[in-house]
Amino acid sequence: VTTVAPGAVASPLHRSLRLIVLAVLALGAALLSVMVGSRMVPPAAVWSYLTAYDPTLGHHIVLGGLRIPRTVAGILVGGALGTAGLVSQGVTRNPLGSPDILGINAGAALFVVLAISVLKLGSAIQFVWFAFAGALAASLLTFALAAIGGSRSPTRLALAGVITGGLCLAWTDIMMLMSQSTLEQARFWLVGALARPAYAGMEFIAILIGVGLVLAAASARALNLMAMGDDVAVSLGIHPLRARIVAMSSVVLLAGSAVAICGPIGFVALVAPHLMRPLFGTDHRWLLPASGLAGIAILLFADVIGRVVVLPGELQAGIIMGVVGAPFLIVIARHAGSRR
Amino acid sequence: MTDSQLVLRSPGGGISLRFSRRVLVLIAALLAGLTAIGVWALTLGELGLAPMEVLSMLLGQGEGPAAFIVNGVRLPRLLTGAVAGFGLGIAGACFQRTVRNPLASPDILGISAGASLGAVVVIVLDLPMLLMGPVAALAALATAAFVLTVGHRGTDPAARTILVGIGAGAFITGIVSFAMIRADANLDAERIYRYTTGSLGLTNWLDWNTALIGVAVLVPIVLLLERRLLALELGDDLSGGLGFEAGRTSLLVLATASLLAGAMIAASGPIGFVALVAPHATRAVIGRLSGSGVIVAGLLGALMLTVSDMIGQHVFPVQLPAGAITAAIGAPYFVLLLVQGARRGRL
Repeated sequence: VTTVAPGAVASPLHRSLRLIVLAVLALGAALLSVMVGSRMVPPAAVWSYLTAYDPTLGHHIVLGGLRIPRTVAGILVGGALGTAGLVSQGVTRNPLGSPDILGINAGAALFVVLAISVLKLGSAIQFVWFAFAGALAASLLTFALAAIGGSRSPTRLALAGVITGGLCLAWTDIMMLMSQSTLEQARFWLVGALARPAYAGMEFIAILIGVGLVLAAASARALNLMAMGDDVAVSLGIHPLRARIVAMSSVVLLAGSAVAICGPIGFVALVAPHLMRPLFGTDHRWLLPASGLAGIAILLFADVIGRVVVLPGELQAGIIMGVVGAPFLIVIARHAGSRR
Repeated sequence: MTDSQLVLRSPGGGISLRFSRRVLVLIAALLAGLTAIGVWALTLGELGLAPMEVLSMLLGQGEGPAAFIVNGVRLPRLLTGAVAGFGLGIAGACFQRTVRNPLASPDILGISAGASLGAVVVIVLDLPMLLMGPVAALAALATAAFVLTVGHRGTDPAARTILVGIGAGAFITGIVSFAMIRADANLDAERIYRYTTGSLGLTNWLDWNTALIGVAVLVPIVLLLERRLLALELGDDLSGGLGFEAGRTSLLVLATASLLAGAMIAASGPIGFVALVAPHATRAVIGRLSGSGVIVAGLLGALMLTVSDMIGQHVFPVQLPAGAITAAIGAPYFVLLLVQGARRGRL
């Protein structure tokens, strides 16, 4: 998984500075996300919300009731997806190996919709488990489909993922259309909207995302070494199978949690790591925080754009990501696995 | 010709189709099945009718609201679905045949999305509805040109092309969704909806005309090119340099198939999986896609879409768009096919 010319890696100081700039960008996106919408909230009101909360003020009601939960959801989901994309691409050693392309997000979504329509579950705490099960099932199906193909080319794994994703999406559609109440409950969630995240239980999902991040961090060294081939990794004390299981568990946790909060938003996981590699090189210890922050910034910016382009309506972040992210897929697919 | 074959030739011999007896029987069976299912479909609905009543209404002998429901509502929907399925099946067969990958089809390659965007542009700009077919067809062609130009390179060009097509499709679908949400306030939204899922819900005789003209103009061209391609592949045409000629003819086949898919989608919306499954089923049944196999793929596509629309209308407590049913049937079928295909080393 390399899109960087060797030798172009910046010094630790430069990379630290870049990480700080990235954090500032993410923070700026969060601030915009809190302020921008059909009702604009001035920065002063944000400040007064934090310092002198007054539940009777209109701005404070908008912030507390809508914008801040929405922004928190965006931070959780963006960070989870950006990190999951990096780990997943690293573990598959495939530039197209992100959970959205591999059908993992779609699998999680299908299981959640099943939980809503068949088991009548209503809160994210309940269906996050289904999201994990769906993410796991979809990743197993994708790897199985790719394995029976017997080919190791990066595009083949992606095609297997596309098939899995298509299968899950088709059945998700059917489940939703069959039951009007499921449609109502799941429609906005499913196109990847932050507007109505499942607020209830977000703290709990945040903890699960934290566990996923810890597993991702624990995988960083193994991913670095496995990038040089399993032989090298083994000689340096890595157990490749164990390392892959830990890393994929992190992907399932992160992608599943993200889907449970706001549906299968595509392309964040694909794009964030690709944007970071030219800046941070191939070391996963740097790439992990960078991809997470990039995911946050990308998703929040997409959400803010969606809020202003069709005023007074809203375009879901998932749709914006489709338009902004798809060209990346085209470019990556064009070059993936090519010899330079 | 041996006596077990029927050869149909156009005047001048430009188009010539050879049908073995087995394929002829299959085609006759498919046509009979389609007709029977079609009549059955016309009897179903809130107003239940007997098959004989339907037949007499089709002959113009009925009167009143029942005749209007059959001839004005159910018949255009049925015929549009059948013709669109036919065209999509043929377009899919062309893609299957020329891009050597089982996933190659107008829907996966984003070409259906391109056609949908063309149709949505016609709606949003309030252009004459007559332009719907041509604009959608040209948009499909433009998308195909983009996807094939950008994707067909490097190692494993077919897989790369498909991924580029998926990207293009995602991009265009986003724009269509954007148009849909913009149009939310007015009636356009309902018409645009068709182009997000693929549905025969609002079809009228104009859609039927669009689909029929598309098939009538483009399918003969497909068959003409198909014959040339077959001749080149079999090495009959020794005068042409095989590689170059075959490549150029393949491109023409793809271009015509893209136009055909686009015209069908103008009438039915982006119905998924018909163009993907029908050619695979054809290959499973008769072992090839060339020549008369193209026709079989078209008929299987017609059958698939007609039956899917019936299921969507009558089986569930709510009406489901045909595109949802074709996807729900097609996707698992496709995984099965793929598992078999992959065992033989083709993904």
